[in-house]
This record gives sequence, C-alpha cells and structure tokens, in this order.
Amino acid sequence: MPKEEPLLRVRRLARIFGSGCSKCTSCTGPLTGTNICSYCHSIVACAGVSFDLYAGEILGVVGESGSGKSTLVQCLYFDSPATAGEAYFKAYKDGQANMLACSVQEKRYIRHHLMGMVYQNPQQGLKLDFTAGGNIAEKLLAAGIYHVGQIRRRAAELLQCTEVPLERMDHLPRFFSGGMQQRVQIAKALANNPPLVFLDEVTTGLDVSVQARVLDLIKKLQRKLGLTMIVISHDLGVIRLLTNRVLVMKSGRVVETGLTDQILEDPQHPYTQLLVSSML
Amino acid sequence: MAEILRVLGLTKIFKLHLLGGKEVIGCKDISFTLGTGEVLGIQGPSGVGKSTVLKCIYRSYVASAGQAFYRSINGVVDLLQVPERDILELRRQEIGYVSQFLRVVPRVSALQVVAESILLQGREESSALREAGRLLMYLGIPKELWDASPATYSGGQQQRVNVARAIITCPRLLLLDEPTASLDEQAKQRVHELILELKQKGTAVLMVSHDRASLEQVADRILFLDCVGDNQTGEVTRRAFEVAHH
Repeated sequence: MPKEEPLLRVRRLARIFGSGCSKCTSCTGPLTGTNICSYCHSIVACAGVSFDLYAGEILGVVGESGSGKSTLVQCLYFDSPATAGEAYFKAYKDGQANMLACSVQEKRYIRHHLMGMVYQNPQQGLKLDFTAGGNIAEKLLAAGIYHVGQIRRRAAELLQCTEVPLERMDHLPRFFSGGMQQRVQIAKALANNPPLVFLDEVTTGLDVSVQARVLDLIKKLQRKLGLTMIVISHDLGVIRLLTNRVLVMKSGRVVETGLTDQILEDPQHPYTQLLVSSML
Repeated sequence: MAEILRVLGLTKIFKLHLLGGKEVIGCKDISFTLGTGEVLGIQGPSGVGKSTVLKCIYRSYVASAGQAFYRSINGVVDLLQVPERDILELRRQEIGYVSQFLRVVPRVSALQVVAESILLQGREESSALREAGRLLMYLGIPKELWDASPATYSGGQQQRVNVARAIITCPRLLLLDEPTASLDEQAKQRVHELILELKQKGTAVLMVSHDRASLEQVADRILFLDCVGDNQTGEVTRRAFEVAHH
C-alpha cells in the first residue's frame, strides 16, 4: 500500500477542568465510570486521546453526553485550551510542529485559514444580528480578504452551494429557520476552503426532514470538495451515513476505534455493544 | 490460475457483553484458497457461519484468529491485519461485497446507488450513470423505477440493485452473500451470467449460498460448512470440507 502522511495526528490529548493532580487520569475513565478525580475533584473531560486522520477521510466521534467528544474538537479548534498532548497538522508547518503549543497569533491563523467549524447551536457559530452574507464576510475578513466585491461574490457562491436562497443573503439569520441557520453556518465554515472541517452535532435538534436535507448537503459537499471532516454525533444513524471510521468515547477516553460498518456490526467494547443495541 | 486469496484457520468468536460475556462461535478454523477467475461456492445450513466468513474477510467483522492473505495490486497483504485506511482503499478499488440485504438511504435513486462505487473511483458522472443504467436494464429493473429509491423496491429487485452496485466496478475479488436467494428463475440466470462474465475477466469470486443448484451452475469448487452436534455434551463441532463436483 502506498504510504501517505496523515493530515492530522493527535497524541495523548487531555483536557482537565480544575487544578489537576497526578492521580487524575488513573482514577477516572470508563473503568471507574466517572470523569471526576476523587482526589482533587478536577473534571477530566478527555484524556489520552490519540488518532490519525487522513486527507479526504471522514472520522466519526460517537459517545454519550459527557463522554468528552465535543471537548476533543474544542481543543483542536482552540475554543478550549488542551491541558496536555500534541497535535500535528499537515497544513501547519507541514505537520512538524505541535499546533497545541504554538502562539496565540498562530492559533488564530490556523483557526481562520485552515479550519472550519459547525456548531450544534447556530448561536455559537453565527452572529444572529449580522446578515447571512456578513457572517460569511467575517470569516473571509479574518483570513485577510478585504475586497468587498470579492467577498460578496464568494458569499453568494457559498450560499448557493449550501442551498440558501440568495435573496436571504442580506437578511438576519435570527429570522431564519433552524435548518437554514445551519446551512449558513456550513457556508461560513467552508468560506476559506479549509483543509479540515469539524461538525459538532450539526443536526441534533432539527426535525427529521430538515435533518435529512442538511446531512445530504454535507455528503454532497464532501464528495464535491473532497473535504476532510471530524463529525461528532451521538446519533449512530448520522455516523453511518457520513463517516468511514469511528472513535467511540466513554468517560473521556477512546474505548474503541474501527471501520464504521465494523463498529455497527461487530462492536467489541461492552459500551459500544450497549450503544449499538440501543439504536432504534 | 494464480492464487489471489489464501485463508488460514479463520475463526470468529463473538463475545456478547450484554449477556455477561457469553461466547458464541461464528466460524472456526476455516481454510481455503481461491485463484483469479475462480468461483468458490460456500454452502451449508443456516447459522453455520457462511456469512461470518465473508464479513471477516471484508472486515465488517473482527476475526478472532487466522489469516487471509490477499494478493492486491500492490503486493500480498493479510486482510485481517492491514490498517483500516488500507481496507477502505481496497474496498474502493479491488474488493466488492454483496450483502444479503440491501441497505440504502431512502432518498437516493437506484441509478445513483448503482453508480456510486464507480463515481468514488473517479469515473465521470454521465458515463457512470450510463453504465449503471445498462446493468439495471440487463437485470430487468424497469426504467421507470430507476429514479426511485431501491428502498421502495420489492425484495428481489433490491437484491438485483445490490448485485449491480458491487459488480459495476469489476472488482478483483468479489464476495457474494446469497446473491440469488430472493430471485425468480429468469433473474437468477441473469445474475449467474454476470458472475460468469466477471469470472471470464479474471475476478475471483467467493459465493455463499444454500442453493445447491445455483452453486453447481457457477462454482468451480464448493466448500461445505457443517455443524455436528454431540448429543451427550450438547457441544457443537464445526467442520469445513470441500466437496467434489463437475
């Protein structure tokens, strides 16, 4: 098999809320079934998370609420500082430097130029009192594109791509439906053609027909643009539809990784077996 | 005929944690070889582990023991061990699988479902759709149904879509799980013809079926899987043996 380097290598990533102590990681996790350190009462949101992600791949992260899946992505998108661990991103210094340890300016650069994020809640990813076009412009401005004509052209192109009617470009997302807000958020995330996109529970809370439309759109864009994505969901249906490989998380740890069809058909870990057997 | 697949001691034991860690044998100590342009049938009663063998080779199941050496375009690999990334690439480029039941998103047309795998290989869209149409036509799916989702089809029609989407890529290794189980005589013949056509082109085929007549028509050799129960202990022994035919 031809060897190629991963787009993203994550090693032993941890995020601990609280003072932290030497016993934090050993007394939390799936074996003890808790995230709270019994010695210093810090919360170990995730720890020891390692994985490789290749260009063009869609990696799913699945697990119950509180398993640490969102925290993982927040650390990689610099929404939340990682407590420990390393991450090497091919698009940043050719994957030679640990991006979690770089300067604030460099983190901002990576975030604005090299990554896109779609949050579960559009309020987090969008300024609801700025127009749809204005929201996309914000991302483009952050990446150093200042030409107004160019920005408007790109915004229109993106909205078209995500099936938002162009006449809504100058309207406020506050007055959009949930599904349309999510499509604007996707347009914004893709504005700079980022090599890596994070999707955090993007369809949770949408009704099923809207959910299907958003998922189909993501699938279509992925194929057309060859996106590399990390998709977080507690919904195995979403994971089945979008991803090739999956990490299963429980109590802040990765308990199992595998091909998506293998995880669904032949889960190995007791928690994954429980999760799959709980599917509707 | 060059050997393309050599399976040695393939064993799958399911550990059911929800039942207190109970272990169930899927298949045990299965060995066989397969050459290019050869069709090996796998026959045996329901529940004996025929599908398990295919799923372990395709990596939908994690095998408990054994090896499956496959001669890929880039050299020999053990399918049970290669990294997930490589398996995905092999599935995309070389190994086709027809599951017993079709599972599709109910919003995608049959034409798209069938064309999908060659689109993923980089085929241009209009030519991919033409090719998909040609296969559906050959398998007797009426043209007015092509833009409907296969989820709305009858069982037999679904199975034909399932076969079409796997063989459209002309894979080097094709794993078929009961491809003709729900088909009428005419459709069954068509599927057999397509399998033989692929065989002519050098595809190695592993075909699971409990239909002896079907296997005798297309298979070069047949591997028979069997369970033998011990009345005293209630223990079940599994055997695999090749039966002569032709």
